[in-house]
Amino acid sequence: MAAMIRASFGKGSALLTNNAALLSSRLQPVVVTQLSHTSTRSQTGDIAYKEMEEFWEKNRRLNRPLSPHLRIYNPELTSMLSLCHRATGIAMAVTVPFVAATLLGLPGDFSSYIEYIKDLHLNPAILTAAKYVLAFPICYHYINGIRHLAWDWAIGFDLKTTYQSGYFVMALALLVTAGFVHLL
Amino acid sequence: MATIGLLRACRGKGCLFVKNSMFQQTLPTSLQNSLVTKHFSLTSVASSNAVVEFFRARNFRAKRGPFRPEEKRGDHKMMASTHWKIERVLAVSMLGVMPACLFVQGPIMDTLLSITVLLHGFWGVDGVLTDYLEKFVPWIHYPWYLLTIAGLAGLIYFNYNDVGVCEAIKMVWKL
Repeated sequence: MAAMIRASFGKGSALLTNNAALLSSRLQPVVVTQLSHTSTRSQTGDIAYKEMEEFWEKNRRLNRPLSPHLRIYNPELTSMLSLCHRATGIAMAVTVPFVAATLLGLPGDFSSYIEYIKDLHLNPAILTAAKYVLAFPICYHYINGIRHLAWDWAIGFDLKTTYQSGYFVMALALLVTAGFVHLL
Repeated sequence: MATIGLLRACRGKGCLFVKNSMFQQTLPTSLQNSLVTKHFSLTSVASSNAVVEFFRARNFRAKRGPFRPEEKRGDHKMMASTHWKIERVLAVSMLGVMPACLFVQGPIMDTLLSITVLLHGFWGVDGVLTDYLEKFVPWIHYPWYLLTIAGLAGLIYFNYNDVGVCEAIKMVWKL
């Protein structure tokens, strides 16, 4: 049917009449409903998707409640570390372009802004805390990123190794962050 | 003709904002969409108006799944697995770049850092948007694309006309 629509745009109605002629000449009793370009396997996929769509339409129409997920599961090391990975990633990925674009628009060069912060004469504790906030996401995301890449090569997937590597990653990330803040 | 598309888009719940047709870059190969995406059409499908068919084939209503692979893929032609592999290649390269920037600084390292961090961040957040936000706000990829481009512009300007990211991080750390 879609092929017929395309035909009416392109080469005129020659294809349309050809199909009609074929159908009438073969005297097919069954109405052809499938699209001519899909194979049988993807037609089954289309039917499956259609059924899933109808199921979800019914769900919406009856306003069926969603079963609880975030409210009922205990926070586990695996899920919390994964959340932390995503949160640090999003935080950094949003901050970097935002700050860069803002600096593009703001007057003065970078040194003037450093001078401005120096002239505020902030408590060194505040500056140290700020350095922790800046250093932890990159350290944690990097070290947990190694863990993620190992999983992508199907290494260390069993639960025991996952938990051990999880504790190791969090400890190492905190250590390296402290090292960056106090030693560099 | 554009109003027809707008009227179609405003129908039904689940669609917060209208998908702006001016952003649709490619012409539809999707006139061969299967019947499942057309079940909200009230008029007959075999209309002879090309512009109306353009909007109808696009199906402006925000969907909440199930998504077929062709719908997820959108208009680009690269296999999802290939994109995934390129993401991993970039991530593995960053495993080397990040420690290297502690020892070697300079304009080359500035450029390398800017490009890898922005690209990795762009693909990462793009994945998060596809996972959670796309079903509610289908046009969410466009503002993120714009922000990344603006960020790239800002970083290129910063590396060329200002101190550069490596030097900037050193200056911040000396505070």
